[in-house]
Amino acid sequence: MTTALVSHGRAVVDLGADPPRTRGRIDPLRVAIAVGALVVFTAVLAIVWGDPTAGWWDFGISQWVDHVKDWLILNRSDNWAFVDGFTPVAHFLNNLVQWTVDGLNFVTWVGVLAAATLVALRVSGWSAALIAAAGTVLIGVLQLWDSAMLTVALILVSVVIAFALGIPLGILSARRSGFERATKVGLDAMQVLPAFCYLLPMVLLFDIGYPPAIIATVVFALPATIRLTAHGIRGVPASAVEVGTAFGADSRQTLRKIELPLARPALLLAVNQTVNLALGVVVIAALVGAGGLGQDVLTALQHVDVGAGFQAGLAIVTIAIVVDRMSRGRTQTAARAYQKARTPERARAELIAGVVLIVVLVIGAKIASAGSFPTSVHWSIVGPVNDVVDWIRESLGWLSSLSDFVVTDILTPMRDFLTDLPWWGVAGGLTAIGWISGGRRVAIACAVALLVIAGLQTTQSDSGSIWFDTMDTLTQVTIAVLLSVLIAIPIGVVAGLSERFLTGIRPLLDAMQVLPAFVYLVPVIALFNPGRFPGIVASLVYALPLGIRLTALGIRDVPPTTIEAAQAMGATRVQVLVKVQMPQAWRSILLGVNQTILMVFSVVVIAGLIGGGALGLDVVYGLSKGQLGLGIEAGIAIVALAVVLDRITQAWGASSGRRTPHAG
Amino acid sequence: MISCRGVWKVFGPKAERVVGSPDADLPRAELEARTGCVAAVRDVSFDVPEGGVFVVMGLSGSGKSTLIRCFSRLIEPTAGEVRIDGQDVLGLNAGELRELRRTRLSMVFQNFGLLPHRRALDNIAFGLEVQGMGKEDRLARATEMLDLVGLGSVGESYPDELSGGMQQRVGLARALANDPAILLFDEPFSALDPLIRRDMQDEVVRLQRELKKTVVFITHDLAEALKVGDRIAIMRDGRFVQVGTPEEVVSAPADDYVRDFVRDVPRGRVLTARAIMNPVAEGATARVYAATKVSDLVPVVAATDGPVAVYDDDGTVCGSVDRVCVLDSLADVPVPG
Repeated sequence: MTTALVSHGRAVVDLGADPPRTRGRIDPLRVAIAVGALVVFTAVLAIVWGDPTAGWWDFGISQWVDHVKDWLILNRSDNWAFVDGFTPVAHFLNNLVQWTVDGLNFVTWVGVLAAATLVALRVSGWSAALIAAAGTVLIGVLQLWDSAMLTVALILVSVVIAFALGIPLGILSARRSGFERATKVGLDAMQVLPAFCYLLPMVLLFDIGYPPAIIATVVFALPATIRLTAHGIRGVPASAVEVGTAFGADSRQTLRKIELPLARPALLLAVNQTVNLALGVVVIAALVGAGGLGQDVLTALQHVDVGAGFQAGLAIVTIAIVVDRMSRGRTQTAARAYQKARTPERARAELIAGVVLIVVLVIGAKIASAGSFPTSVHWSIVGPVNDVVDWIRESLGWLSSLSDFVVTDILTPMRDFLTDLPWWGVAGGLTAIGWISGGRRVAIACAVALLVIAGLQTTQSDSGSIWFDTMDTLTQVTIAVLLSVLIAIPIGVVAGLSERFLTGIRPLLDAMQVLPAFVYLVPVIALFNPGRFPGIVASLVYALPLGIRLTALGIRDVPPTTIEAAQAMGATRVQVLVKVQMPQAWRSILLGVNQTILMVFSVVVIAGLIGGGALGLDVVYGLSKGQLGLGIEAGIAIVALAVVLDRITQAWGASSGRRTPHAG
Repeated sequence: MISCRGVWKVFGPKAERVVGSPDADLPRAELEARTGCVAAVRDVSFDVPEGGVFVVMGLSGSGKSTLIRCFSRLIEPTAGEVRIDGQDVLGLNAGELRELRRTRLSMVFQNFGLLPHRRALDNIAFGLEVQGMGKEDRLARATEMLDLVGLGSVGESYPDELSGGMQQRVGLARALANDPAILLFDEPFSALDPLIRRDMQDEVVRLQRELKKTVVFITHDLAEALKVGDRIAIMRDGRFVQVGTPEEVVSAPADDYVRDFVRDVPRGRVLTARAIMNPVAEGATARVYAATKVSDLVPVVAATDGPVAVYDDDGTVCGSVDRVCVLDSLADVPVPG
């Protein structure tokens, strides 16, 4: 008894000696330091760098890249790094894609249809099998079979490589926290950057064609594979692993018999996400000459042939939905029922029957000399869509007035305001926002990123300097994010409050989230003339589902007991929403803003293809007009701007500590 | 048999420095403040003979679950010696240790520890599968084990389709499947309803009688400890405060802490005639064995006025009981005089 009292007494004394720190909202000293540092920073920029930026602050990356490119053109065939390194890799990847295409052609459309349907049936059940079959036939009927098979081959090769690397690395990262910490920054960066940016350096190393497409795709998809694998393995309860150890399982047995089976849902999600991200890049890779459906969309966009764009876009959407449903797996109850009904003998019989069925069908198709999808069955939406577009152009004139209004009365004045300001004013201002949002570290990240952009001084583009284009992109992103948030939050709140509404819109949100950003460009040029506005609309639509989801999630995550307590004290529904649910959902909403910005950003840059101009157009120029130096400078500016936007908004929701995988 | 000598487990930085130092005697909070370490098991020694049931009883946080994990090195002891059948467990290399875990000892876990992705049969067969036994053999053996624990028909079910009691029977069957000499129970029944818990305790007592395993059983429930154990250790703050037979613990608590624990025990069901008997007395009118529980003495002494003779197992008279000493033993407080 005495010891208890004494120790209790000590505890009290300890508390008295070390009073709990008052977390003052405003500490005058720190504010003064921050303001002082910012003023000094801005003054240094203004005096030392001047405006426009002094000539000595020019990295000359463009000239350097163009030198490298010229050198490469001369030396690609005899420099050891290329002869023994990049070129064989490129050949190998080229062959892999070619073999896969040949393989798909060999089994004919009948074999592809049968394989897709049976795999969907095995992994995800009947409805997925139906969707897979219908989707495969639809692509054939749209007369896009050969393009689609090339796209599928590119996805297959990229995804297999991403798994071969990502699953072992994911397991390693779950086992060794040191490895995870060491790779965190790199993976974060890989996930934040728009896929667009990966293509440029790959072209430099691997020339154009399949290889840069494959490598850029793998780089973009790999973080999701690694993270979801690691997440799944780490999510296996320690008690289950302990059971394995207690019964004498070695580490391989533990992995195979306990960790991997229990991580199965996460691994399936890894497959799902990897394939989805891969599709998003593979279609953009048409810009480096990878071909496939992306090329069809690209050609259509360049000729403003909305009908053809829709047709190819529909095929991409179909692939996205089919692979998503195929790799989603069964629901828990369905999976259980399926597993119960499946004795080992039946599983073997099913496998044999499936393989035999495919072989028989393929042989049959070969005898009937089928190959690509028969041209006799076809359905074209090009004509009807173009008619609708013409009708829209003629009768919905207010749409283009709206577009003109936003461009001339909002976007241009805002951009001009930013570009008329001295660059050091903008840099100081953004750094200040960074400081307010997340303190010194965020401010330093912002300052460095902005100084990097200022050092890109190439002026080959029509529109002006990289800094000018960066401000242009920043305006477009800002407006799109504002609109997106204004739309997403109310819908998200309603979805969070009403189960029925959420169930109603969920299929739509699901479908919207699996579509690659690229295809959102097609419908908007049907509605608006090419320019900056359609890109903004496409990007905000692309980002909406996640914003709605995260808002709804935040609202629904509020514990029912908290709401009950508020109701018990007589709060009205509105009061419960405003005083209880919204404040608790705030972090989730801020996370949504962060994700929205990144998603909007990734679309705004590819909107360079449909007249969005700015940095995106510079990258397109770099890729398609051989101005690689300009493209790479613009790519660096995109990366730097992404860092600024990500750091600032991440700091807003930082303490939530939760980051959903960024679904491209 | 299992033999532990001076086993320590200290969690924290430079844990080995704490062992045996004056710091180790500090209360938990002070030790943690001074060294950053938590001593979960402090200097524990005991032996369990072959076929014996040794129960470690303590409240949560007393270190009992850590202790039981030290035997098979699921948790690596910081210091001390653990011998199983004379073999030094702490000296085994990884392969030898796996072999020990596969064949010589098995564990039953607090939250059953069944693998949710495997059917009951495959869960039971898990240990055999890990040893590399063929599929047919191990499933046959698993079916046999399922019958042994009285669950004939649930082999095809997944763990989450079974009730708690059934799940723990599966856990028990799994532990028995590789026919280990030693069974370790880590609070196996604490997650079960009281009635089911009693059934499971009976089941363990029955299996122990049939199979003669050496058992170490962890529990926080004194009634359970008294029921299944032939020797009991009371653990507090990582130390054994008393080790003895159920009867010794109940009749002669080592300190106030133990006394507090055993206060509510129905003494009549634990104490035997031997523990309460008086010297041999003349004029006995009836006779009982020394191992007779006090609760069973009540009708005997009630039926006679005089003393009752107490016989040893070998048939010699070793003492006597009467109404006064029986009532005395049943009362919570000592009868004055």
